Amino acid sequence: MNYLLLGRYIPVTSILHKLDPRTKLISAVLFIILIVNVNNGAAFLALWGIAFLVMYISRIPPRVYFRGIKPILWFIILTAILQMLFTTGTKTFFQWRMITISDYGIERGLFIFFRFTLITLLSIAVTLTTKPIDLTDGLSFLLKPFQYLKVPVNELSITLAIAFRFIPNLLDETQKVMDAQRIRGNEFGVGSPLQQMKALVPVFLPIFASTLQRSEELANVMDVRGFRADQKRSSFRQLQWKKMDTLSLCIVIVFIIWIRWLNIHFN
Amino acid sequence: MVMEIQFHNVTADYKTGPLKKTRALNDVTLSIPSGDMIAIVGQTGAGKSSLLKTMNGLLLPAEGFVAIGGMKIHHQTDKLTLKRVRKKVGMVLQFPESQLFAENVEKDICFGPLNYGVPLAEARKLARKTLQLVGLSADILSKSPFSLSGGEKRRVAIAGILALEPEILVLDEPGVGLDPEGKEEIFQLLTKLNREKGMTILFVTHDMNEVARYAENVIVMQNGRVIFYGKKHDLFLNQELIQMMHLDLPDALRFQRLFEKKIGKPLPKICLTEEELADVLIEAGYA
Repeated sequence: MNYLLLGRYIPVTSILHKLDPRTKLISAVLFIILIVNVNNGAAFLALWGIAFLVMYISRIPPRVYFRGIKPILWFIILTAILQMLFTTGTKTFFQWRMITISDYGIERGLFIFFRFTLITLLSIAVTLTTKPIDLTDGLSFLLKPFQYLKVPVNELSITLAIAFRFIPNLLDETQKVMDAQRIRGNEFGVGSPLQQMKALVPVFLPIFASTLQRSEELANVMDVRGFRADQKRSSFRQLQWKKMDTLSLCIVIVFIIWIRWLNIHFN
Repeated sequence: MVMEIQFHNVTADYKTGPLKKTRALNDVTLSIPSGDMIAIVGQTGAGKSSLLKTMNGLLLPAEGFVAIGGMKIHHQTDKLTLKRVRKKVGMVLQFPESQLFAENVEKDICFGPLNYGVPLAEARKLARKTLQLVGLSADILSKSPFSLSGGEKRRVAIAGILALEPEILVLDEPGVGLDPEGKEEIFQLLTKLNREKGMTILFVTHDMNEVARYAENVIVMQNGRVIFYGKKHDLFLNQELIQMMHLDLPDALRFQRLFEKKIGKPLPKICLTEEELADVLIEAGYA
């Protein structure tokens, strides 16, 4: 369970930790848009450089990041391989019915692999360095304009805040129930895929039951204390935009322009 | 069958985050004879739960090993041995009712034995037997475990472990969160298992009255080390240790101490439970 990094915050002091969550969110979104649109080797090389730079300044060891990719690694590899097998190119190395391996296909496959891993790494960087509560504050600030489109932003952000808040509890509980069933001779990760799935039933059922019960209790407590999500409220924590944030955003934009340039120039 | 539990310089780490590790057990050497009834006490984070978990193989020692009836648990014990250990050492976690999942009580109790390859018919028999053992009637076999009361749920969960027919039973705060009656019933059950079946029982508790009433020996832990292991009388008479470990005295003994201070002389016998105290007071002519 300790391998799941999504929504986990690691408290160390670094520049990345000190930045405003909005800066990190905006930068991450900009980078993700960029990564999706990049399609040459030089630009990807530069992006990898930036990814390692981000890991370095976050002062969290890269192995933590790569551990975060692990759970979805097979998914990424599968997507990349499919891309590789079904794309035709100028030079074909191997062909059998629908399946072709070509220079262009290999390149596309590699790029897909890079895209997924880079996007995951950057998203992990945001969640590792930002407290969940700051993350939701930042998100709800950035979503504010959508209020005019009748999107219930306040409700959404409180829902998000609660969801983030309970991730660690849920993980702990999963660990506990897994232990409890292990004691009763249940084995995880052994046997055929069907057996492995079956072994998870005794874990998921109790967790569903307790989660439903807990959300009911939480809803009651919030009602009793007179909580209304649709009311305008002030906030105890104030987000503060500092000079450092403006500066960081400028650096990010410079990087983005540079990579766009690389992308066009080397095509 | 003799099922001695031996800890040989056991050190274990507990993962508290993706990066952090905490030392849960620090060089523990311990030998627990078969058929004992032991309470484990100590402050939060002292390593009580970890001590239980290493006996069951949920937490593997980083150094040293645990020997239980010819089986060894060390940092690279294989899954098969662990499974055999878990059959011998039944473990009841804190709030064990969170493990209930099946659509009815019978299926839930059968889950453990079936995992260990017991045939269905026999598992069903075991379910009836253990349910009776924990003091519940057979008509709840077809009920959903989620529809039971708190105390009933806990006893069903314990029945689920007893159905494995373990020779050693370890429990993490078995009484917590139950009303006094429910607690009493759980401990009556443990006493019965210990006396009639000769089961070795270890339980973690914070309540010194439970120690005084039900345990024979006590393990006191602090910072992952075993500070004291011996008779409960020896622990409660060792005032220095009690104070150092921030432990309470059982109600009866505390009363006795105050009473002795008032009358200016000691009573003829150290009393750990209310019953003993009442007898001594009557004998000495104070009541």
